[in-house]
Amino acid sequence: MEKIFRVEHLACGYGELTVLSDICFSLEEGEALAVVGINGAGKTTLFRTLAGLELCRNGTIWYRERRIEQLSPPQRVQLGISLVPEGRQVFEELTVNDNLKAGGYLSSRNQVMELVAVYNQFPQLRNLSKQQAGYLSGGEQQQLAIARAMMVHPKILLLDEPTMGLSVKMARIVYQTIEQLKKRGITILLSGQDVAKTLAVSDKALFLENGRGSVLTRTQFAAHGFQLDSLSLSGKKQGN
Amino acid sequence: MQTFQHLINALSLGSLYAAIAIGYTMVFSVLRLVNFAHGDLMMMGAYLGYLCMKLFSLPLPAALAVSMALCGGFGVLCERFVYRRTKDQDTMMIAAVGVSLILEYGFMLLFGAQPHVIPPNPLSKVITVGGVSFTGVKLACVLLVVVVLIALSLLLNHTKLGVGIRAVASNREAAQLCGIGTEKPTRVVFFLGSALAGCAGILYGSAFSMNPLMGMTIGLKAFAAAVVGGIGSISGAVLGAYLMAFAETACAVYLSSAYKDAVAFLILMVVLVFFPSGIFPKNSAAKRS
Repeated sequence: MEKIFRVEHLACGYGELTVLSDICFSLEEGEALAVVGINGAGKTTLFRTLAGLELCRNGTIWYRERRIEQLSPPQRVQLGISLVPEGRQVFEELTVNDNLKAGGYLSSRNQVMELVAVYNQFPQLRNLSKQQAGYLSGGEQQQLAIARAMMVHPKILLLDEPTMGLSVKMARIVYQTIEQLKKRGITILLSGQDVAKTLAVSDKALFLENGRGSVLTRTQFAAHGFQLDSLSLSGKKQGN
Repeated sequence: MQTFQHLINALSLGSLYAAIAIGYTMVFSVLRLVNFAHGDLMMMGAYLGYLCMKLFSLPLPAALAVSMALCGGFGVLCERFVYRRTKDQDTMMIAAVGVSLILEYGFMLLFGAQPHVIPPNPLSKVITVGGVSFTGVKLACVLLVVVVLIALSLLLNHTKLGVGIRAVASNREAAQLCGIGTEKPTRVVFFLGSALAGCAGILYGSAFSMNPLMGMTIGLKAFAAAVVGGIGSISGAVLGAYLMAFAETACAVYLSSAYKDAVAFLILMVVLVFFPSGIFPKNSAAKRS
């Protein structure tokens, strides 16, 4: 199958600090990649670099046959790469409806039809359409952030810590949403504090450690003797 | 009857402040910049209007159009070549002070420090209704604010560009992640705010004499009005402007006109003690998780 997204020898960081180097992975259409690592391993840096918010210091990022590491965030969105950032970053002063309209800023399709389609996909948002986004609960904001990204019909969805700070129930709904998106053929990169659940919805995983990354499929992952839930948030293995 | 006269004076003065405060607050929203050069754009508009009408004998509407277009264009150029090149908010603000000083002393070099007056025009006519007299300028100031508020409301709430502007004002980074290039909304806001300041300049110059340093005091008062209202909020800026103008007028009538400038800043200090985000802050919701 065609590789829709390829990252080759990527290096990124902030200011003088290089956070990640020599990151390589590739994804096929409809695949999901879990980005796993302890706090500070560089997960968010990687997501921000892939979305164009941080400069790529070295290496290349390919979307199909096109190099995109020099493109701005809006140009990447136009190609179909959307980031749902850590902390959701909804437009707090805008209503749910206006947040979605902002999400569909680049879409040339009929916005009313687009809104109807997104509300059908995220029915819990329909009743909140006139509500100011800043007053939504964390789970509702997360749904809104994903729905907003869906307004441009992304081919690749980058989900940085989509369940952070959510109740178990809300986190379950978010994971269900991710499963549905995957079934629709959207390629997904996601990170999460709950490593087991993040890996459960993914086809492979990128483990970030000491500024480097290694990709393992679920089979390889099991073969290496790790337990899916053995990585604690502090990064120490809790058992073999 | 005299009370009505004072009310009309305060209303027109408030409208003038509001026209400038709206620009301040819009620019602040999209760039988090306190644009200290904004008052000087008003001065620039007044002088451009003076040039158009005095030297080129253009009628008032043409002078308004030229002045607004040039002020708007100048605002856009400042954003593109000065503010965008700064590395953070602090240097951006210092750059704005620099632009302000260049404008003030540039115009002083060109026109001298002596006051100038825009030639009599249809707005200078005095209208008397029921014993209350006012010039066309005063009426135009009030109408300007009404028209601007309606136009901005339509632009911001009913157009794609408006959604883009509000998104950039709310969260610049998230706007980029929605595919909204931040340059265009920022450019539009600078153009509109600066053009509005230019229009206010001609109205001010038609009512009072003008000098190259006039933008400093009026600009600071408009800034104070925007802060009192809650900077970032357009309706707050307008209400803050009227509050300042009514307080100033009351001070001039009941106390002494010598203190009226101080009153504006006294209000600012008092309001900020009790309402640190202004009286009508931008509708910012607390994030719950």
